[in-house]
Amino acid sequence: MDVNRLKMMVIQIDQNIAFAGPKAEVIATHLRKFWTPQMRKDIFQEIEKNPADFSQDVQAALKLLHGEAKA
Amino acid sequence: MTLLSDPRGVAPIRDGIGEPDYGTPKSTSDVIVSVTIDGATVQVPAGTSIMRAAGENGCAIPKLCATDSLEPFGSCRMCLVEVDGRKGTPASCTTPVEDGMVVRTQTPKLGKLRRNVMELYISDHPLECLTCAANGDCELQDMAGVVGLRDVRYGYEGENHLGAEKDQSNPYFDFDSSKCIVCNRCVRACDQIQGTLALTIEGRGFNSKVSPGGLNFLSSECVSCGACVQACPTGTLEEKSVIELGMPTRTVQTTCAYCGVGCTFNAELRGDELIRMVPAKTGGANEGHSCVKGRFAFGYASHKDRVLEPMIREKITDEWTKVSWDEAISYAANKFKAIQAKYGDNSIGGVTSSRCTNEEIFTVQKMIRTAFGNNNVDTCARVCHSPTGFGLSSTFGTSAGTQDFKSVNKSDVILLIGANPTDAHPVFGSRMKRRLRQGAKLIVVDPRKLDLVESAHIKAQHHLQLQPGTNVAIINALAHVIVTEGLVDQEFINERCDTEAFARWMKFIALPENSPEVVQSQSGVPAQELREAARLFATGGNGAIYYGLGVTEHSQGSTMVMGMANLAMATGNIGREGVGVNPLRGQNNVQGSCDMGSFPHELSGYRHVSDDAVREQFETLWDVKLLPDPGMRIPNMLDNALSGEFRGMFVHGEDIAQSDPNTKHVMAALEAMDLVVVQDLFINETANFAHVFLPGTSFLEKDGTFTNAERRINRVRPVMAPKNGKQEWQIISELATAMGYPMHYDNAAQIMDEIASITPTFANVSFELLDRVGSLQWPVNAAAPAGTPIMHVDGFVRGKGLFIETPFVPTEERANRKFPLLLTTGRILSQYNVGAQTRRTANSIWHHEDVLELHESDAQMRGIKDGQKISISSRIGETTMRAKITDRVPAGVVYTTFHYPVSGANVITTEYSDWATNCPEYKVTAVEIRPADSSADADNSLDDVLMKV
Repeated sequence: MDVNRLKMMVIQIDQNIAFAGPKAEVIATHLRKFWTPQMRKDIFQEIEKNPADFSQDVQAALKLLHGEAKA
Repeated sequence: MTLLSDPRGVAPIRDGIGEPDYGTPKSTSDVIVSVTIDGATVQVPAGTSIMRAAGENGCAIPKLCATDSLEPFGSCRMCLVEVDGRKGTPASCTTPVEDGMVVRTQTPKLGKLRRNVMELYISDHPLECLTCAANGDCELQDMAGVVGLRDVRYGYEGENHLGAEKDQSNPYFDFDSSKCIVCNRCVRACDQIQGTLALTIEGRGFNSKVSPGGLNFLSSECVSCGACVQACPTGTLEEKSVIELGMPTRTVQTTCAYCGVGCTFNAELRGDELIRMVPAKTGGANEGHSCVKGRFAFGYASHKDRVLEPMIREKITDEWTKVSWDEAISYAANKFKAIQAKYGDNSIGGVTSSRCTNEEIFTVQKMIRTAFGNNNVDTCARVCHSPTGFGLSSTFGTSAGTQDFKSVNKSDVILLIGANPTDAHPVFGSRMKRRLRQGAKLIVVDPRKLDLVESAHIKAQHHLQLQPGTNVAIINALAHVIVTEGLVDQEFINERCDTEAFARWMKFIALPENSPEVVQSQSGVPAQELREAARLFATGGNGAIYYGLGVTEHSQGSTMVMGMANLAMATGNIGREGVGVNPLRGQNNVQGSCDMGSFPHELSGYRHVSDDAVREQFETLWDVKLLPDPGMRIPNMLDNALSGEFRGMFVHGEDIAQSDPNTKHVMAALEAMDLVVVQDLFINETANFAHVFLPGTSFLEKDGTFTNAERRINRVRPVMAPKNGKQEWQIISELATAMGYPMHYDNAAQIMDEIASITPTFANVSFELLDRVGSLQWPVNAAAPAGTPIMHVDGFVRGKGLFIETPFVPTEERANRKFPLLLTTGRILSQYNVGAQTRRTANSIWHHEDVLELHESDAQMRGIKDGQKISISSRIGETTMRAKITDRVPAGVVYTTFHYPVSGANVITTEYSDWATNCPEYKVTAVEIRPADSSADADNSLDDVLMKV
């Protein structure tokens, strides 16, 4: 999938999501609930390549999900 | 003179056709009184008219100006009765019963009075009953028989109205005022039921006549809802179809397939020919009312453009080849399987349609999860109300509106946000207008000046005319005032809500950034107006929120839904009549398509695919392994088609090439696929990219259920046999079977039984129960066997109501020097969505092209004149439309509808979407406009459009 689209989506989620709890977990829960495994994988690869484009929370969320996928 | 006598009481005029008419509305009083009518003592609720009390007890009183959908009027003098202890002969329609009252409805004196009155009516009425279109369906004719009129002593030569000219201007009904008895029923129907007040009585005494104002009905303010036609007791207002084809002889009750109101209609037929659609008084959503679409615009179902035979083609540049059903299904199945064999199981998917029945939708998503073997199923609700599901389930615990439509009758303050019910949900709009005329207050939040902001007898207390894209700032500002001025309903919150979440939210909402003074600069709405609106909502009694796509189709759509839920909870406006948060769903079965498991992340009843226990239930029932991860949404499928990972799509009754944003992108994605299968009525824009076309069924042929915006499950009954030879669920079952997953149902009822067996909110639903009770609002289960008109009465579905912070994050789509105007979109009364249905009806006479509304100052600045062709460009694309200069939109905002493909409204909308659900941001597109050059697209002229009809 177009990684720029995914990037835009995850940044938008980061900016808007305001559920209670640690932000990284909140983001991870959202992506787990609504994104396909492939989308999560693709964005993780992008984060590994260009971490500076993403907030700490998004990076932490994706690491969390990546860890789950590997387990 | 010929008078056909068909004595009737309150019973339907012809066996099996029509509904009883008790003359006056039902009383809702709990107090019961006893009254003796013609010697029989009966008990009725206090406030019941003598006419109704008599009628309900089998003793019909003659009447002409009375009908039970209207308040009594007492003008025709046919319903006179005698009451012990009272002087004279009061009209039974305007006289309520009293305890102990003794009434006589049939005496020689009354008989004489009625005959005399009838004699006067008939002396000025055409004597052509045998050739009149209303023959057999005329109350005047019937009543002449009932009162025993045998002669007219006055002759017919005196001054009369028999030569009055017919008004045939309306495409659906004629007005023959020579037959009019000036009973006022049509005028009162327009006032009381529709609320348009288009009709009036012009002149006085003998010169009194019904007038639509203006030249004729077509040029008047009449909205062709049909209420006047239905109310007319003679042949004065008559459907053209009845005039042309004759009286219907049988009826089938079914549900309209246009908007999310879900009106119940009696389809009246003559043999297999549909003559007219008459709104059913027993309809839970519409209670006897209708709009121009449901009442009259059903001709598309038999339009010549309908494709009735399956077709295939190797390439989209090839001509279509008609094939048998077996061949088409086998072709599609083999192609889908070949794609999966080459590119993997995940390379195909499908889209369900909110225009189709629950049973059809359920089978499509089942086919995708079983035969396709993935969760790549999405629905057109993605592009309209997906944020509603997200927002309301997060805060309240269920993905649906909280109220029934009737609830608005108890509202004191209505907060209407991003919705235009008088155009898009007209029957509910009329209900809302009725409540507003009774004195309820109205706050409108919309960039555009809707009819409801100011129209006959309606004036909004506040019109918060915000800049497109600033909904969240507005809802936060309203909540800010309520919190900082101590207007919250603390008792409700303590009892019903998560108080820790409330405390967090209160801290957030009280921040200065949410104050009306700050929001004024973002939204353009004066701070004082915001403050007054907030105070009104919090203190004005029952506060109800109604909203539409002007809320959801934004990059913050889900945030806004949660913001409205917060506001309702903060003011204690949840869990009883007159309050609530109510999405006005765009299509007839948006609610149902969401309920049926059409989203890629959840199974029917909104249960996530990752829930092992839920998945196991489905796996056991369906005998297949299901995937625990969400599948692709529509935009994901399209993006992946362009990158070559997604190669085949089943599109069920949905025109994504016209309705989805950034048309160029959608078309490129469709073109990139190896297989597109479209199931629809017509070769729509999407079908231009299809390799297989499977003909669908119109709502008149379907057997199943629709679920409307108030969660009401209504039966859709086949009025005629499927013109394509098969029900759609059969076609889907056959395709699933051909792909290797055996799927078989004997009938649609079996599918509903399966839905009920696996979906807790539908647990007790069956066709048998629906046929018995009419309709049911889910949840319908052991805890609520009669359904649930109002949600969250004793507690929220999720337990405690959850306040969620709603930061305002402006969209990236902003006006700038190159694109200085903001375009927003909406619907118009006479057309429906992409217009595939209504464009193929005479409704096009009212709207034959989409136009761009713009403010005079924006027009002047660019040298644009009213009616001129203009070019509209965004950073995505460019299209042309005609300009309409209006004060409905403020300077800097332009507006259009999207009913004609040629308008290309979605050629210019962008890829921005809601952060949580990817619902496209249709409502905000930065554009520039300029006069179009002479090579602009050809006109969509009225003549051309009507030729196609």
